Amino acid sequence: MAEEQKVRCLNCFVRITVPPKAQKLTCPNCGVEYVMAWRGSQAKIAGPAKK
Amino acid sequence: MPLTRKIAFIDLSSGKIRKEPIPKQLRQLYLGGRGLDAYLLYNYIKPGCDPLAPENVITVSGGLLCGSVAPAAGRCHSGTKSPLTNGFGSSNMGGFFSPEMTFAGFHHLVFTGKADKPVYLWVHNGEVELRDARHLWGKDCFETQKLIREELGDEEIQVMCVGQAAENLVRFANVRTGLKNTGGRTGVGCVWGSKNLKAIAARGTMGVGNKYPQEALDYAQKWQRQVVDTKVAEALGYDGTMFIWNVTNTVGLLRYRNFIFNQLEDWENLTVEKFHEKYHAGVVGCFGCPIHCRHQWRIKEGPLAGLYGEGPEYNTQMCMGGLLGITDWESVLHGSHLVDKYGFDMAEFANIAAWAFEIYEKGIINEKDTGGLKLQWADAGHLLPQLLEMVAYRKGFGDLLAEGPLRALKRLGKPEAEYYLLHIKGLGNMISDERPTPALALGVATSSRGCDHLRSRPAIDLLHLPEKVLEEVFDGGPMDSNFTSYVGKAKEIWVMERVFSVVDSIGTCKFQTVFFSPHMPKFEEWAKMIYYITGMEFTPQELRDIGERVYTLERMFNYREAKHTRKDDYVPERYFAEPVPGGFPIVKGRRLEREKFDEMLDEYYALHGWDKEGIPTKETLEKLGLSKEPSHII
Repeated sequence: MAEEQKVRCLNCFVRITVPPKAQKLTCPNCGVEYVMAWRGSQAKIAGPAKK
Repeated sequence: MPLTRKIAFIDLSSGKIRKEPIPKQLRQLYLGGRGLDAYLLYNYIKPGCDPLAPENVITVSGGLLCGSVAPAAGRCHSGTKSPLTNGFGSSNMGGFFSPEMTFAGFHHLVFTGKADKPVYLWVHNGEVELRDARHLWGKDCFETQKLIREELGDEEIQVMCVGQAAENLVRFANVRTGLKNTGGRTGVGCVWGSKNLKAIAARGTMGVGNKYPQEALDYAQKWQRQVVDTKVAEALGYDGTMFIWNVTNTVGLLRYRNFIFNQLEDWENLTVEKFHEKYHAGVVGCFGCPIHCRHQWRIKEGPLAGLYGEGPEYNTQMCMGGLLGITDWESVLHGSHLVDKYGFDMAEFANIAAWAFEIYEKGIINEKDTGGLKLQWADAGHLLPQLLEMVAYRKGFGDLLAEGPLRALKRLGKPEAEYYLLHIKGLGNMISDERPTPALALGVATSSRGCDHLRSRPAIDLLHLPEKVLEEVFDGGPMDSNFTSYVGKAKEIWVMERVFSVVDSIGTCKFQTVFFSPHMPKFEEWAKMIYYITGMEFTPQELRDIGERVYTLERMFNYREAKHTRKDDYVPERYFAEPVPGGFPIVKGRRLEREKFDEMLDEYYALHGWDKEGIPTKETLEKLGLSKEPSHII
């Protein structure tokens, strides 16, 4: 089973769990939104979601 | 052993060459590389000389551990009096040149005078000779290296050279080796051009050896493991330095279109992921490095098909991209290729070109000033190759840009343009927007080579690490995890200046320091490695003191040559006047607070033992053994 992916929010610094293959992510703590990228099974932040 | 490597003094005016051992006393005080170069420049440059006069001096050096088994010990330093700032000129590059120079028997080269015709230096197994380079004058950086290898008949020769930009005295011309290793900042290449020095070729088979070979090998392996086990090494190995861009663009810590915004529009087109999809062709590393952070790229289709190179770096993404409002990879890669070919600093070019676009947009300059060029942001990608060529050959408006910030502004004669030109001490600001990050702002403001991040940047300040971790890295507290805070930031800069001074003097890579990760090697590791390789004993504190000595000597150089004092240690006015326009809530609306910045500056000077004007006190000079400089030990 793939390891659960987490990234740290770049605005409020809480750790956020990333659903598998998610392309977008919202921080549950501060609400900022991200576009996600994947390197194999590893999640990473690609950029800010556009409003 | 590295201690057997020599120093060669080359008088370009007379052609005379003198080879000397490096006194152990100087090794103990300055190690080598940038540190010993600072000593040589302070001692050998005629005070007050014009940077482009024969009285200026050029140094080229490897660090104390250069060419040894220490990981990534292949960095090369070149110094001079800067034709941009009139202060300490200093540039640093990776690759394979300085190890080859070490294998040829030399750690330091000192050039004085001016050759009456173009020359290059050939360094090989203890011998040093000047050779005619008239046939190389006018050649670009790629061709020059190739022709010298052919002429000397050895594919293994490493060449450092300058291109057309240096020949044409572009003030931010640089020195290069390989496809993209660049001694980029402060216009060192321009001084090479002024002296008719086209290149240095090196080849050697004189092994370096170690004082304690088994211990040195074992410790090098341990160090390598320490490095490659970090997350940052993994990210660097996969994405190169572009991994940083994903973070800084997302938060809003970048300069877009000069200083108009702090995130890229259409950023999706310039991601490292897009680069991997279309242009990635491989990865390479510098001498002895376990990380391999450098991409190779190739354009496979379209009008630029077949073009290839090394990089891009995070800096390339922004200098050939975001700073000019360009967000397509092919324009960025093409621009990067041209910069590598002509041989000048892409950061300096991008800063001054972005300024020109902004003042054109604001109506401060028009087509009469630009020689007919319409500097509209939307056309920047289309104009980039033309502008790069105009700068390299000083054609038309490019002649003004080639002068660098201070002189271009003066020549333009429009005082209202000054506010928009970002520079510190005459060196252009780079790609970051430091308004929300007081530590990073203080670092670029006080850097001993003008605005630059590689003198002190504590990038780990952005990682929101626990304060306890920061206290360990920065030798005690109080520290604040929040990168927008002013608490502890002066100390971060002071500590990082010592870290970078020491690694630049032993000749290892900054990526293997606490620059990005608290788990990387520190003074303790460097002290052990120096001992196993050279037998020289230093405590970690003694290495910190060497870092302090080097930085203070550079400060003395800047005071002597350019009268730099507190007034020169500020970020541009826009950092205080304009709030950050966009980005995440943590940065949006922030600007630097002048009073708090001044308090940081006071704290920073006090840590160094400098007075309120930023001038080292008599007691500080005595404590560091600098009170009798220039001392002419060699």
